[in-house]
Amino acid sequence: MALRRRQGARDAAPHTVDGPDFESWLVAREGRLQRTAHLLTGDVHAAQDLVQNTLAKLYLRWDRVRDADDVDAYARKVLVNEYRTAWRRPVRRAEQVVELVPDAPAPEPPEYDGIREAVWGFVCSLPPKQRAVVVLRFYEQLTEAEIADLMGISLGTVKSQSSRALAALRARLPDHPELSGQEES
Amino acid sequence: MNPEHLLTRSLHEVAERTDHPTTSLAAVAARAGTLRAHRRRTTLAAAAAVAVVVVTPAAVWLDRSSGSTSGPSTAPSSTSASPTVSTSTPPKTSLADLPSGRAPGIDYLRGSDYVTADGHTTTLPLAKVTDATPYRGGFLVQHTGGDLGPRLTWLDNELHPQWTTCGNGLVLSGDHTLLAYVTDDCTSDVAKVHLAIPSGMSDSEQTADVSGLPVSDLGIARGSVVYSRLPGHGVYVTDFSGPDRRVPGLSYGGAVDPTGTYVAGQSSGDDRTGELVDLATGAVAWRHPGYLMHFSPDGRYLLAGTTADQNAFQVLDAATGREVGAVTAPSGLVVEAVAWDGDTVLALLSDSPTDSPRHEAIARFDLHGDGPTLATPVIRVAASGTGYAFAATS
Repeated sequence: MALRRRQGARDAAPHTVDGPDFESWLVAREGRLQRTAHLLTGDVHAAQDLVQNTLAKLYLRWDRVRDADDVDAYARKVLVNEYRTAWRRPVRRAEQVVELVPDAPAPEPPEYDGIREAVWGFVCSLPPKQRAVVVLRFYEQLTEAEIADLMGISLGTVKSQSSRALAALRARLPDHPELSGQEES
Repeated sequence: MNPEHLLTRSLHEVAERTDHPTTSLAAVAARAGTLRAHRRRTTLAAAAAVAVVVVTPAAVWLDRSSGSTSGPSTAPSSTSASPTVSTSTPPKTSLADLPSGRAPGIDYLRGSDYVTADGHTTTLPLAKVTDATPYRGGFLVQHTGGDLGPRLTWLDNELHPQWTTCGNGLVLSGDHTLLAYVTDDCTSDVAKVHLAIPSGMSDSEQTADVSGLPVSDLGIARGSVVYSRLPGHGVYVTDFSGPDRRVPGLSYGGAVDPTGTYVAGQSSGDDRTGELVDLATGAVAWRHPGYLMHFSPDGRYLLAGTTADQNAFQVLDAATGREVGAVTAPSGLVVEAVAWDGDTVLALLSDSPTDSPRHEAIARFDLHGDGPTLATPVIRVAASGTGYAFAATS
């Protein structure tokens, strides 16, 4: 096919002598992307979808990605951008269902204790943009400036989104001992 | 504990305690295939989340004197025309600005409609169709299939689905008497390369198993199939009788000239360099600093591209590797795909980058300085939709 021939030549992600080869990088880093994607989406299947799209895009342009100063940071940026694209157009999540194709069994959801479940529920309730700020700040441990750069938003927006999230968390769990200085055992 | 620490600890606990599935290289390659087939966008730019609109003058020219390639310098092409040079930045062009011209002389897709070169239209009962070809009285259709990559469905002569599987790579021989494609069972790492007679009704096809790596970039050479093991693990030839043979020096590729003598691909030493390799001897005929893509139907020319400008393509003399022309999209338009139609080049153009609602049309660039002209009406495509695509070609 004409299209494939044109893009196929560009799309294959060859191994290289200049940087990590894609397969090695995939094995080493895919787990981290899955975890971040899970926190962003709140759903294991959606996370897998997000990560596959991210990895596919990296794969398609690996000949340039491998030369990046920080491949992991680059991958994280693609992941977040892909997440932002998805939240803006949820209709794209709808995929055609085709018969005769086996489905992998769904992983069992983990169980959490009360506070963890409450915090996780709170994170899942945040608007996508604010949620991304929270995940990048408190899971990825990025600085506010790094988040602003990664998401293409102002530093002030990062600060306000973060502080509002923290305030909302306090309001959601006003009497919990972990937020009132009484550590749980 | 302050809320920052509580958030950090909770998020880490959720992340670490969840059993996340792993993603195999095959799954990544399959998704990559889905992306490029479904979206047909400037995928490299999309990966960086940067919408690239190249501001380049519209120009199609033949230039005898521009043979600045790394290939051997031999006699120039017999084709002649004067270069068209623009030194100022032109205004952006809309598809509606392009004059109408001759309809495509090759089959193409408009959404789920399969349109033949003589204008006959068949509506395929599948959504998100990205490729198709006549097959066993009906059609073999490639369509977007979700997480497991592109699917192939055989529709019989009444357009009833007979089977669906994961697969891709519809490629016809130069005389359209043979069809090659790849299937797998969606979950294993074993791909099956098929060689079929598309006009026949028999379900007997030559097949060869390829284990361990995704397969792409098919070509047909004298009854054998050339394919690439991705990512960049070499170009191979199967004749369906013995062990597959590796084409020396190539990391990936698969464009085969109409005589089945040469394969065009990317060098193992530097995948940004294209090489034309003799399939029988492994000898390199010439090299080109870019990506080699399509032979013209008569084998005289070869389209090439670079990652530097995804809206510009070079026309190479296939005998020498010398650049004899170029195809450049008008300013503000994006090239989604290209294909040869006789001695002209058809380009699928859109007016918007990835993931946006957009207008699409197929435009024709000739090699004598005229064009582009619209070969199809301009249609509006939703962000999640599929517009035009080229049907399977050699």
